[in-house]
Amino acid sequence: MEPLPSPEDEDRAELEAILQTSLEFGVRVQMSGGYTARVRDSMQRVATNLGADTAETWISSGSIGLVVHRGGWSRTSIRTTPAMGVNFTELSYLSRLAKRSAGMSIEAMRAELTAVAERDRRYPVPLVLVMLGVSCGSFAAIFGADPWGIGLAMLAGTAGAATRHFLHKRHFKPFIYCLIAALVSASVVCASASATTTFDAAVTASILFLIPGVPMLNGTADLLTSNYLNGLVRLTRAAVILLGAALGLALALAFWEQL
Amino acid sequence: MSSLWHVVWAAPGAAGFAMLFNVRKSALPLVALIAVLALFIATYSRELGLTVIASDFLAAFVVGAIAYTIGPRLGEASPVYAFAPVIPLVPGSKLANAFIDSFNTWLTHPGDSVETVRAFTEAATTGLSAAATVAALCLGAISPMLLLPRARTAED
Repeated sequence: MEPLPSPEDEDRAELEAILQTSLEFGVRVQMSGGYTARVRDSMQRVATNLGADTAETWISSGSIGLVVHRGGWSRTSIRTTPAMGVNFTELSYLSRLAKRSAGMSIEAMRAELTAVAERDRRYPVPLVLVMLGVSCGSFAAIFGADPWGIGLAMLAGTAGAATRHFLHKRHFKPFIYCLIAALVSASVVCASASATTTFDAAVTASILFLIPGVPMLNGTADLLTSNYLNGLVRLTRAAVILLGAALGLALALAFWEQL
Repeated sequence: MSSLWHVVWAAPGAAGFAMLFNVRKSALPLVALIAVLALFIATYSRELGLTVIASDFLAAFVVGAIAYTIGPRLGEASPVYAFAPVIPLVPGSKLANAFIDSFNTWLTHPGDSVETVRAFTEAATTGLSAAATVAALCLGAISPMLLLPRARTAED
């Protein structure tokens, strides 16, 4: 007959459950586009609200570590984060969940996290691609393009965004998919260059769906909150994306003899 | 003031990116409105004589301040209202021109002639100006988070 678990064993098992639940929470915040301070504060808040005395974090661009302490015991775990995506609906939900986690049981928190993962409601991909094209058309208008230039930028932006989506799904690296997407977008405008009198505005705006807004802003947030290493990683990623886009644009202009 | 009508284009510009970031449908109108306000501030302050960098910083700061004030009250994470609205302010044409001029110089100005150096200097100046504007936008949108640290948390 196996001995019954002692109260100490149960306490340690509960601490392990707090650790894994809080870590899962942090991974989801990171994956939905939270900057480092947000990931850290969320994990610490959830861990202490679920019953840990204190919680310490270690966050890098590719992994998250957490140490929880209670009654002289501590538990440590590290998880890799698959990718730094963007999902602000989920980020907002997690933000609200962290704030109301006081008094919540570990099981209830786990159930909420499972529900978040299953409820991944996103806009339909074709709609997002078309809207990115509309954004490019709007930027062309802001740069002073004529109606044909706006239309061309819209069409080219949609084509480029679709190319990026296609290549991203096939696990190409950011530099490659941004280069090819910019090449496609700029080529669409170059191929119809005679249709507009504002070619420069249209071709420039057509690749702006590649602006790495979230890495740039999260990188800045990391630098301003003293998370320098993660900030530099995000800003470097943004620089690589911009370089790929610029190279794609230059190649298209050279190919269509518009340089 | 007659040129200010074009600021309404910031609305669809920001809405497209907000959908890419998977912002909730109910938050999209406010995101679009903030983007229009931001472009209005940037354009109008330029007309008043402010530099591009200063006017973009001011516009982005207003966006950040609004986002960090209303975001938590409306139950949204502040990046929902802070990130997409500043994207129409990115000096895309300047950035592209800097890269294109650089490539153009490499292709059409071989050697170390005075003309080559001048062309490179012009491209670098445009690039640095664009980079400074982007930095001003990022700092402007994020820096309100650093104000009133006791009243706000990173989760807001």
